[in-house]
This record gives sequence, C-alpha cells and structure tokens, in this order.
Amino acid sequence: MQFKRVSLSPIGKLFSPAYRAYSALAFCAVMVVACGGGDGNGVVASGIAATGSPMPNALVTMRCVGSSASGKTDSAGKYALFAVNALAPCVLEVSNGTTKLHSLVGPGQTNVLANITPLTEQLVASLDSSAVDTAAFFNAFDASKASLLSSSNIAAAQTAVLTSLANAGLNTTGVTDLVKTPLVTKTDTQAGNAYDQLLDSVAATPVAVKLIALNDFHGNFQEPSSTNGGTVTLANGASTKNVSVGGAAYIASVLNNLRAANPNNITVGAGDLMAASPFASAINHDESTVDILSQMGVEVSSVGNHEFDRGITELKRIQNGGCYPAGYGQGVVGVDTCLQTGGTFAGARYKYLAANVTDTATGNPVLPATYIKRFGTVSVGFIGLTFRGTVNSVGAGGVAGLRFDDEATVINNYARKLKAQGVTAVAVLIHQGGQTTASTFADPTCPGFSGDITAILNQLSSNVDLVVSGHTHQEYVCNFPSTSAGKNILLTSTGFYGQAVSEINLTLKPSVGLVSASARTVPVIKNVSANTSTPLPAGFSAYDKDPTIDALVTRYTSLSTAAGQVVVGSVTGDIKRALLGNGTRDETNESALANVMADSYLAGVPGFTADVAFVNPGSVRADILSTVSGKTTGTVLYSELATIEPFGNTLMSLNLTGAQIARLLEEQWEAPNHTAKTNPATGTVGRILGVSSGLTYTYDNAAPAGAVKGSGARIVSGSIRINGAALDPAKSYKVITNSYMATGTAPDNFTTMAGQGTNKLDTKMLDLDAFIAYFRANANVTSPAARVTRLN
Amino acid sequence: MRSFFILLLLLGLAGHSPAGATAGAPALDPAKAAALHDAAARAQDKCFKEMYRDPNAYGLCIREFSRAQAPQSVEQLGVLYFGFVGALSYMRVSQAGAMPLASEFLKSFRSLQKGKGISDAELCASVAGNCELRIGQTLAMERAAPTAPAKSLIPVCKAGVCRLEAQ
Repeated sequence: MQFKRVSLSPIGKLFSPAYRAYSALAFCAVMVVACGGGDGNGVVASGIAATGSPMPNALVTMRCVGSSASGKTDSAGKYALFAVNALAPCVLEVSNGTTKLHSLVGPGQTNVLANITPLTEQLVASLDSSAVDTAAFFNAFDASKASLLSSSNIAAAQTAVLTSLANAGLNTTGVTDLVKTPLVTKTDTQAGNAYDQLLDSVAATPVAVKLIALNDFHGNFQEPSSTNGGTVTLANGASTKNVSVGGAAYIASVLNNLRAANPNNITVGAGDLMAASPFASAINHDESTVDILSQMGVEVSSVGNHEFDRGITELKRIQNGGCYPAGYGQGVVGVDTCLQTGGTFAGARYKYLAANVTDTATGNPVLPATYIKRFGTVSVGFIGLTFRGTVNSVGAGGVAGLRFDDEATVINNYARKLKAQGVTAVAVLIHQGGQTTASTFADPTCPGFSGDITAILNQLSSNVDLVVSGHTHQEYVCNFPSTSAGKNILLTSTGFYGQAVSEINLTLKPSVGLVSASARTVPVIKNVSANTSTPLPAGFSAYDKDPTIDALVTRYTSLSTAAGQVVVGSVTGDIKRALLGNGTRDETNESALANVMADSYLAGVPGFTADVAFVNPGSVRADILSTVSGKTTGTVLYSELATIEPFGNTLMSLNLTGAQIARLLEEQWEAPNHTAKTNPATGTVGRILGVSSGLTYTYDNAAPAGAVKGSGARIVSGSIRINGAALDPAKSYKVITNSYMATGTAPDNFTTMAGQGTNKLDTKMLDLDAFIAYFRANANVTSPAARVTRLN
Repeated sequence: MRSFFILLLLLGLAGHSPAGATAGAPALDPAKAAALHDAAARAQDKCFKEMYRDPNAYGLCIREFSRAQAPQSVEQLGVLYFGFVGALSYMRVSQAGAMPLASEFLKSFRSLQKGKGISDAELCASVAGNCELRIGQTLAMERAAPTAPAKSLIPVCKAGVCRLEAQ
C-alpha cells in the first residue's frame, strides 16, 4: 500500500504562535469542524509528546491506512495532525533526533487525543511480536499491519502494560488509557497530573534484565568428549578440580534455573551454534541442533563463520525451514532431512542476525541486522554480526556473492539507530573474540586479555553497553576499558561445545539507560558422581538433565545412528592416511586415503572431465578401517565418509600449465610448509598433497627443504607424469581441487592453484557427495599403490 | 608502562617458595623481570591467536619464536613460559591438543629456568593470572605420571617405495 504524504500547509497555518495557546483538544475540536465534522474524510490526532518532560520541536508523523501526515510539536510538546482521506487505525511517531516514541489511533476514530509517551511506546510494542521493533513496525505500517490495531488487541495490550506497571509497584491510579488519558506535564507553574507522575515513576524505576548467552556450540547436543570440550578446570581454593560439562539436556536445566530467577530474560547466541559439528548433527545438516536450540529457548544469535560453511542459501533454509535438496544420497526426508512431525523442518525459531553481511548483487543485507526485546518499560536492542575475516575463513562456495563489512563501523551505525529508536541498552552479539591467560574456568579477573576483538572494542561508541563474543573457544568475563567509548564495556564468552553459559545481569532505567551490568560464567556441570563424589567448589552447582530436551537428544541420536549405518560402498582392506607415532595425521608423507579422495574429486562431477585432482592432507580427517565393531567387515558406511570429509567444501575446476603443476608440487616443501608440518620421529617435513590416479612423480627427500617459494627443487627432473605421459610444461591441464584450496590467499601455504589457476569454476558439487558417489560407483575399493616415489 | 608497574607489584606480592631459585636469593633484577615480561608479551601477541585455530600452529609459532631469541636467554625463557601458559589456558577448557603442548613447554621452560635464579613466582608474574593456582597446576603436572611415549614408526616398503607407519 502506498501512503500519500499530505502537505500540512492548510493546517500548518493554524499553528500560529497565537493558536498554540489553545489546548490540543480545543484545537482538534476546531479542526474537526473545519474538516467536515469527522465525516470520514480524514483523521485528526492531537496530544502531547513527552518522555516525562515534553518533547519540544520534535517531528511527529502519523501513518494511517490511505494517508499520512506530519508536523512539529510546540514548545510544550503539543501537536495536532490531520491526515486527509485517511482511515484509522493509525500509528504515530515522534522523533527529536535522539529519541523516538510511538503511539496509535484506534480503528474508526476520526478525532482523538493520542499522547505519545514511553508508555504508549510500550503499548505499541505489546501489540504483537512483529511490533516489538516499534520503529520498524511504524515504517512498514500498511493495511496488514493495521489489522493488529483492532480494538480488542489494543485493549489487551493496554491491560498487559498497566498490569505489568502495577506488578512493578508503580501507581497507575488515574491512568486508565495510556493513549487517551489526558497528560498534564509538570512546569514551574503547574503540577503534573497522574499520568505525568506515572511517567516520572517509570523513568526512575530500575528494571532488572537477565541475558543468558552461549557461543560456539557447534552442534554438540550430545555430551562432548572429555578430551575435547567436555571438561573444564575450576579453581577449588588453592587447588583445582576438573568437572565434566556439556550436553543439551544439561544446558536446558541450567537455562531453566537461570530463567526462574528473573522473568525478564532472553537467551542469545554469538555464532557458530551449528556446523563443524559432530556426526549426529552433521548427518542431518544440523537440523537436529537447530530444533534443539529452538526448543531450549534461544531467541536470537549472530551468525558465525561456520554458519556460512554451506552457503547463504542453506543458511536461509536453516532460518526459514524446508528440506535439504535431494541428490547423491542426501536430502532423504525422514533420514537426513525434515525429521520433524510430518516430514518437515520448520527452521530456527531463533533469529539469526548478520548486520555486516551484504549480498553484493543486490546491496541488501542477507539477514536482519538487529533485534529488539522489550522487558516492560525498558528494552534491549541486539546487533548481531560475524568477524570481517569470515570471507577468508570459509570455502569460496560458502561466501560467494557476500560482502563482510568492518565490524566497528557497522556496530556503531546500528547502535546509534537503536538508541535513537529509544532502546534502553544496546548489546552486541559478535562472532569474534579474544583470549585470557587464566588457568582456570570462570576466573572473574580476566587476566591478560588479548586478541582480535580488542581493536573492535576500542573503536566502539558509547552507545554500546555490552558485548557477547565468541569464536576463540575461550571463556571469559571482562570489563574492557574501551578507549573510544570512554567507559568499560562488559564482555563475555563461554568457551565452546556448550561447556557453559554466560549469566549477564543488567539494571536498566528508562530515563538513564544501562545503570549497572555484571556477569559470571555458569559451567554446565553434570550431576554425575564423577563430578559430585567430592564437593564442588563454592559457587558452582551440578544439574540434572532436562527430560524434554533429553528426549529430543535421544531421538536425534537414534536417527543419526540409523542414517549413518547406510552402506555406501565396500573396501578390500584398510585405507589410511600416513600416520604419526601417536596415531594422528602425518602430512609429511603420502596418504593412500588422500589419493582415493583425489580420485573421487576427479570422478566427482558427472559429465565433467579433468586431467588431475589434488587434495590437501588436512582435508582427510580419519581413516577407513575394514573391520570395525558394529559394521559388516569390508563395508563403508555413510558415517565413516562424513567423518573423513566433514568440511562441506565444493569441488572447483581450474586450469594450470604443466610448469605451474610442477611449482605446485614443489610448494609441498617450500617455506613455510617445511616447518608447518613435521614428523619429529623421522625428520620428514612438508605437506604432501593427495593426487589422483595417473599422476606420478619422484622427489628427493635428501634435497634441501624450505626454499623460498618458487625456488624449491625436490622433484626429480622429468619424473612428473600424467597418465603415463611426461608433464608438458607449456600445456594447459584441467585440475580439480576443493574450494578451500582453490581460493583464498595461501590455503595451507599453497598459492599456485588459488593464485595462478585460470578458468576457475565452482562445480557446486559437495566434496562429500563426490566421495559417496565414488564409493557407490566402485565396489571393493583397494588402498592404492603409491603414486609418489620418495628417494632417501 | 602500566603493565610494567603491575609486574613490579606482582613481583613484590609474590611470596611463593622458588622451585628454580635458591631460598633467600635476592629478588629478580627489575631489568630481567621486565625482559621476561616483555618476551612473554611478545609471544602472546605473536602466537596466542593460533591456539584456537590450530594448536600445532601455536606450538610451531612458540618454538620458532623461542629459537629467534638468544639461546638460553631470559627472553627465550619468557617465550617458552608464555607457550606453557597459553596452552594451559586452553587446557582449562579441554581444547584438543592443549595438554601435550603445555607439557612440552613446561619441560622446555623448566630446563631454561634452572640456574637462572628465577623463582616460579617471579616467572609466573611475567604473565597475568592467579599465580597461586598456576604454580600449583604447574607442580601438579610435573608430579603426574608421564604420558605414554609416542609409538615408534617403522618403514613399510612396497615395490621399493617406503612409508613410515605406526608400529
């Protein structure tokens, strides 16, 4: 619906200084007669705009169905507007440049007293969840929004607001209608009336608000491993105590416990809630995690870099719902997607915010930037964003077409807008963080804080009151002295994998803003004998599982187990990576499994042919073992391949000359790869790429490693062959690799493919899909013979 | 500058019996204390961010940075001590890979600390944090049973090509 902006000139003439002496009501009575006695030709609204004190010379705008009008308040905050050909209901906004307030005109009214105060602001925000952001509601007001302004809705909102005021101990006597009760503001010559006194009381009455925050959950709804996120070290007097933590069922109990202490609460996230997740979540594209977090009551979160792992289209599906696209054995409803009732996926109930992420094609934000939560007479505005470097930390397919803007600039911009909209406090949810040198968990002193977020914090304006951070997998509560803001900004982070939540207690006053802020880290300590057989340190508690969330965890665990047991292929024996003595990956030696993965790349895209494929050894995260308890010997399970290749990269093609391929292979040992990966037991160094069938070469392990890039000479001259033919330095070869290696500045210190490759094409084929397709197409895969010959 | 004064304050408050110094020995020379603190701070600036991304990269960064200091110097001790504290800070959240690094750098700094007359308390004061707890944790790690030695690798040769595999 288009709004017709009406010139106020005929009415404006009546706003002569002499005329302002009349009360607004008297003014409107005259106006109604002048306009034809309210015969449906328009809406007249008048009243006082006041925060407690009047708002003089402020812009008032009224938007009705069919028309709008605007004008200025007088020195006493009085206004009167006439919207020609308008029909009520209408919404009103007053703005003096630093504060915005809203009010309303009920349906069918043509001549009405409509004050605009913090209480009418609260009234509008109470109409519906879509009206909590009152400025956005006002700006988007149309016939559909107008339907929310029914008499019954307004009456219900009036009752709710007045009840909450009374519950807060405020005297509402004499104020029966927040919009229409006459407001007489206190001056030197007159006392304020009951409405004015109520406004003063509201402004002076503090409200306690509790934020509960978590970050870097990474889909760990099951209890994390004790050696990877599942244990934290607590100070215990002069000693320490390790306790096991985590698991969604326990987190839910902690949340319930904290919420019970203050009904004015909200649970928020700071990114990486999903993705880079364990198999039970990854198998269903994190739909399980999203469902569990939604049911745990998470309300809003920033995006993190990992939310972009599978691209913006997939992130929007996670937000809005729908099934994962079918193909390559994935996207099977009830197996790996749409696991909710009726074979559906409703999407996240919580809102993802991405204030600094823009679609380069449209110039529009890809997701909302802000979220406002109202707690009675106060509100908190949230700005959510990820770190600017996300563009370099996610595969190209994940961030294609997106721009990531400077964090502090974006935060300050939205913080200013939120404060101008009238929010009481501004909280930033940012997926960027720092690190302390604390040696125990929940150390309240924030020792030795450093990290990338400090530069951001030192550029923030004083509009920012609180920062909830993440990304570094650290735990801290700090009062950071921001040089730019000229004040301490409370800063929190909770570790990772659901180890803990931050409990953040704010005291807010409508007239002041943030009065005080404090926080503590609450570890999610499981009430199990290993934790409680000796007393927990003072100040810490253990929790039982929440049965509702526990049932969900059990359900999704069962579903993931079943889905993971799907046989996708077979092997004749183990296919392994090169391994160090401690069983971890040895990147300095040729990996049979990386070579098989390269074969899958080469075969990966139907109808697409290439000469050779390369895999960085860090992309191979586990081994294929022929015999494993719980599976038929020789079979390959979906869960195994998903564990080996978990990153969600896409396959990309590019062209390299033969000479460039030779340089690429020399990069394996050139600086700094010669020190990035080493085998201390044997002294071998470097990163040996997995290569596809048909590519062979020989290198001399006794030749010097660590040459300056472009000058290494470990490959035996003339030894590189592709499909039996000597490599032709001048010939252009078609190469397949993953999107991580094909893009960026120096992925794993390799620059040839990312920097010199031409005709780059993202095939959009997921590496895991190609891996599965390869095993489906090739029965009894055998560990391949070495393709690389090492001399010495 | 402010951190230097904090350091001096911490040194003044530190009352732990020295593990690497003789009882009754004079307090650490302020210039040495400052050098220790400065080296640790530079190691923090240079390497700490690597820890959450890739513990191996953190370990490599600390090792390389310590080698860039004068051998057996106070500065080298400061770098290695920070290597330990940084890893310990991730041990408290059970980050995979943190414990082996903490153990490695604990051994490294201990061997350098010997003979330098620098007590645990003086060393601890070079990096912010609760020294009573950290020194206790350090000693507890040293008391703990050593971890199992790494499995040895053996060459496995097929068709004349050898690979090293775990035994």
